[in-house]
Amino acid sequence: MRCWSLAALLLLVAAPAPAEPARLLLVDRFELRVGEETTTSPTWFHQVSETGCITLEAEVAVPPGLRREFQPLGIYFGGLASHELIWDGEKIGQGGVVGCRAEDERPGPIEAHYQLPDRLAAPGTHRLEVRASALNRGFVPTIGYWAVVAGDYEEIVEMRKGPALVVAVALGGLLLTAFFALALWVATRGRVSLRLGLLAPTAAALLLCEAWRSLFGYSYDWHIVRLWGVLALSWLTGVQVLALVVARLRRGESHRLAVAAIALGAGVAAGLVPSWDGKSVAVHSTFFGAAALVAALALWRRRPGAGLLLLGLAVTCAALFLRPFQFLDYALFFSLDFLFLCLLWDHANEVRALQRAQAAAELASARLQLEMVRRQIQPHFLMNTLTALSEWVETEPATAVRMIEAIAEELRLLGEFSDRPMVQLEEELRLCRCHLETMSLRKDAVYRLVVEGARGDETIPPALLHTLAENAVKHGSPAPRVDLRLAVVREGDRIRYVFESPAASPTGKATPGTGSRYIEARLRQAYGDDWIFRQGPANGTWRAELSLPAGKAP
Amino acid sequence: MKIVIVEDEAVVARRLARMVQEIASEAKIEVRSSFEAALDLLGRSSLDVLLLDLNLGGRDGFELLEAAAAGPFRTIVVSAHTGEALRAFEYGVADFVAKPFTRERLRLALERVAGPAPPPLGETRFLMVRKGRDTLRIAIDALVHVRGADDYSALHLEDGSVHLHEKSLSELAAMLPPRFRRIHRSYLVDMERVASLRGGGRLDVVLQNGSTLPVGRIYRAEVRGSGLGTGPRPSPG
Repeated sequence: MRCWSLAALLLLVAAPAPAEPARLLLVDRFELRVGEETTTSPTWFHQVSETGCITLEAEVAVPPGLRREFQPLGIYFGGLASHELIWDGEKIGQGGVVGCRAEDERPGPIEAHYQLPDRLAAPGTHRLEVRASALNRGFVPTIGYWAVVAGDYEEIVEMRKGPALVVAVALGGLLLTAFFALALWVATRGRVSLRLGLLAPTAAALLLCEAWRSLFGYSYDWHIVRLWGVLALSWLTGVQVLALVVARLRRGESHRLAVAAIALGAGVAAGLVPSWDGKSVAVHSTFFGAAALVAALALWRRRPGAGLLLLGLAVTCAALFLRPFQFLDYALFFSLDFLFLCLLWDHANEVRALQRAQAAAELASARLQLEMVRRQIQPHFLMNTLTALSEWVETEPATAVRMIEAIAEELRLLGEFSDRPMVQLEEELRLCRCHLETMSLRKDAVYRLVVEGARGDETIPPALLHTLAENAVKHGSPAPRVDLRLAVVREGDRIRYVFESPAASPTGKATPGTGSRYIEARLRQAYGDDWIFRQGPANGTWRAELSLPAGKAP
Repeated sequence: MKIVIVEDEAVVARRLARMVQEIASEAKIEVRSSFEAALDLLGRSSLDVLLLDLNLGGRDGFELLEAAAAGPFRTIVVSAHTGEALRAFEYGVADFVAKPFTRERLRLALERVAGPAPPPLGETRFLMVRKGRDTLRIAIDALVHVRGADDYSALHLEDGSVHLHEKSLSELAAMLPPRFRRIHRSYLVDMERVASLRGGGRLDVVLQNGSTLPVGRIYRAEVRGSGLGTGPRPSPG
């Protein structure tokens, strides 16, 4: 696993930045002519837009090897401007209409390439003139996207195709993921499935938006729209990745505020960074960094799935950290796909874990039912009861009948309870009283249950109080008269049940045994982790306390 | 005859007391309902028969049984757990009565303990010896021979140690497995540990550990007939 992730990381870092083709010549030494003045400026692209129309001139030395035999030469222009290209005084191409006022200009394509007529392509020095205007950008770029390349025509065409294949592969993966996750959500209504199903299309839209220029092109005044699109989709993707990781790894803990704060922070960071590439990098760094931190913390706490998610996020973060400004161009495609691979894998693990938990819960439920009924035929209980019953039959038949009725009622109630997840408190108390009646006749004592604060409409898992009553009689010290007390206390949206019985003799070990295990298993089944059960000696009594959610009826 | 009933179930205890009184009208009966009271009683009171419930207040009663087994009296276990019978017999209890019980079953049990020492119903594997307030468990496999003295017996173990038991020699003779034979009014020997017989008129057994025990006159024929003389042999019984 580790080797594999390392290999993926190396591949990712090494893969971007394709080698510059040999038959291409970057033209970058322009002289800028505004009106009658001519200057040489390495930052001419900064000045192009606001001054209206400009003319740039450059000498292009075409070496003898640049052009292959029988192959044409070409010129590529890329930039946020309408343009006219003039080669040795002859106009060879035009994108949009160059104009010195905004209304005269018609925006040209952001990228274009033209073939040079053969008669103009001889080796030697040529003169290239670029007339350009950029009055419809709608924003002031901090880094002028501007490139002029002369060279082998076919290679220029190849260069423009760029990462189309990569984008298609990445996009296909994301869309399949989206479809699969949504289908899973429809089938299971799992929340992580839904999150995955929403995240994947968002990521796909981000990729598509980012790759729009090389895939389809557009006139340069649309550039700002695409930049906003990339930024917004980056933010949306980031929020969803973070929320998904939090939902997956910090189960049961609400972190909406923290996620919202980080999302806000990412927005602010984007606002503070001047360049558009920088804005996106800031957004991605914030979200992926935060998500990786969450995953790392979860891994430290040994939460299931944390390792896999951290792996996916770490690869993304590494790509961001090592080449921040190439991230959007190439690494984003790979790392998002890789992250989704990890997310899907983790999701499969989670689904499996859920299925196992469900199967275990069903088994536990069956076991609890069995346990509840089995305690009644457990030999110590049953045989002693029958022995006592024999005695009453021989000495006081009327009492024997009373005892038989109590036993019958207790067994009947337990039978009714056995396949119910919850029972009314009223029924449960009746069960307890039947048991105490039986025990009173068995032990020749008076066992009573005194209840305070019960409304009767409370529901609890079956045989909980019955178990406590059983234990109280079993472990309590023998006395002719024993009062067991139950107080029902409402505390907001919870109900506290306090059960008190006379403590066992000091040397008697009242160890929690199968009874406590039964109670805990029942509570876990009914309330998950949302319950409290504790017991121990208190002020000369044995005290058991349950704190349960009030309204919950699973 | 003094009979003690240890039972924490009040009605069951009453039933036992009533029936025992009906079966053995001359018996003196005492009832104890808690583990502690019972343990206390076993330490000092003289009694003939103990009727013991093994599950007192939800506790495992074998601790009590071990203490009871060290006493000079005979013990009848009265329990709801028939599964415990085999384990109880390992301590040499006289009988095991399952709850719920009838008068007839109880009468049988009381008749068993009323007469001379009854043969064991299961295989006795341990002897319990009282040491102050504690009891020591001795595996019968470690026992070589027993010497009787008045009302108690001295257990001689293979490691050379000697422990005093409160039961009489004839009581132990009935409890122990058949390989333990009476060879003398005062001696009970594990015949598998006898190395050889020695002497003509006066007969001795020589044990594997080197010690020599006399054979009583009335036991001579039987000991000679057991085929011993040259070394360890499987017990004929």
